[in-house]
Amino acid sequence: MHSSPWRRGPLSRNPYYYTAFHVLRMPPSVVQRHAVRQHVLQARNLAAAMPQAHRICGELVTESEINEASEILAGGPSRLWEELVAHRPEEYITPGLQRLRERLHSLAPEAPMADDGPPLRLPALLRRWMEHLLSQQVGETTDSELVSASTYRPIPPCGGGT
Amino acid sequence: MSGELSEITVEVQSGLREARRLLWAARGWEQLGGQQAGSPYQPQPHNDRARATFEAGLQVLGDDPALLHHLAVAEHARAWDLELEGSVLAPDAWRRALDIWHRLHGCPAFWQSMRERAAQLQPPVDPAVVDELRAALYGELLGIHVAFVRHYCDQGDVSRARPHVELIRQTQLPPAVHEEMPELLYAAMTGSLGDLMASQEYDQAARTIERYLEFYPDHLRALQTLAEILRDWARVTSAADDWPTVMEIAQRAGTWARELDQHEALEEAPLARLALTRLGATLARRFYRKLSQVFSDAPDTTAWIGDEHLAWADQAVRWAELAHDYDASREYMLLLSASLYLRARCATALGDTSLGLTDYQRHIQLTRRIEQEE
Repeated sequence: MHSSPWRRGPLSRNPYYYTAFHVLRMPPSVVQRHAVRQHVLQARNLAAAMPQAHRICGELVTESEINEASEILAGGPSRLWEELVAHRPEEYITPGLQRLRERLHSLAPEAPMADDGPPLRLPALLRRWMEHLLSQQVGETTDSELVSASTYRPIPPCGGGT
Repeated sequence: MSGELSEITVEVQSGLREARRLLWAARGWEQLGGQQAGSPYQPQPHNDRARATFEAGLQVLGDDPALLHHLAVAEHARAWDLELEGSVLAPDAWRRALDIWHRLHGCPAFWQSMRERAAQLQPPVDPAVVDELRAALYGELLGIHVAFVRHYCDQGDVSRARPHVELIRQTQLPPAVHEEMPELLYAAMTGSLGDLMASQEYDQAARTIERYLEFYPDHLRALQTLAEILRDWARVTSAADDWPTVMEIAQRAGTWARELDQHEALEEAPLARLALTRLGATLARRFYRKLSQVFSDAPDTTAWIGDEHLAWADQAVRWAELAHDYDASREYMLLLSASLYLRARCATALGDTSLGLTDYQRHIQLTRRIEQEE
């Protein structure tokens, strides 16, 4: 078994969907030995009792894949390699990430800016109207999930916009 | 007043657009979390929204280790998906992903966090393992592309292999890693060579090396190996029974023998010179014997000789000269002398008395030298 998850399976499988965490349905935040064992047991039971219920990209997860995943996550370099190809647990917060999250999850106190333009000086009434429009746009999303448009300009969908 | 209102309307619309984009990104980020309450862990490795969020964050915050790692995973996962779809976007996606991994590799804070993570695991992992992992990272990343190259070459789909090689050449990686690439690829692409040669599948064996040489035309070991394969192939091919194959070998050898002959490192590579010499001698003998047979079957050349026969004689002389250039031993002098004699006969019979005379004089000179040395 190769240590690196990139070279463990066939090329026709994107390894990012088949990490040991996916196979065991276990978040990377789980590190306690007994908790890992618990996930292994649950995955085995599921594969045995309801094989159709445990699939990755439409493929059934097999007993041997569960065994391999449990070996990988048992410790040692293979576990670290696995963590390298999985999104880090939520507990891993750097100052930069924290700032980004705060920005993304708070409504901007100031009004949004136009692209590269000067800060807006909107009348309070207009600002409230705009916030109302934004909350309608959000739909199921709460106000706290609105984000500051003044700081970030992510790539828009389908390549349009800035 | 109306102008001011119009300006405000434009700014509000612009602000709304921007806010929508950010919301779109933020929702994508949540999807990477993968764990809704009460449901199993099934995260998406990437989506456009999340990548946009990380990208935006990096633009503003610089190389934050957590953001870099999220983006590396997302970009790399996306590139793999695009590759499997056969998308034309795949090469650019791989390039972006490798650039991000490169930045992550050079981010000490990330590796410190990995050491801390290693200590948290049960049982704890020696932090030195993290340094080993970091050192191995480039090799593993390149290994993916080597594997794709091998896969596509095995399928005979060289056009899909090429972007992977070009990708590595263009990606921002340490020079030592770039230098490793030709050797890694050579090992990957020629792994089946031993079996092919053992079963005398010379054509396939030669093709394996030729595919590699398409990427690295000046790779000395590959050129030498190809010369050896073509020579072995020519040796077991009968000029009498399978002349088209001899012609094909000569044609393929012609391309690569020139590369090897002009290789700047050939002087310090005795085995490569030997391979070239033997290839030249073997092919010269094949053409010489073919022509000799024709001459002995019908001594009256006026009845049959044509440009085709002169071309064979040309080949005999050319390959004999190559062997003689690297090894002026009696054996190769004799071979060259005899080849020149045959070409002189062909050229004279076809009315090219100038070439005929020149070749004949060279034949006489070589014969005298051989006699003197005896």
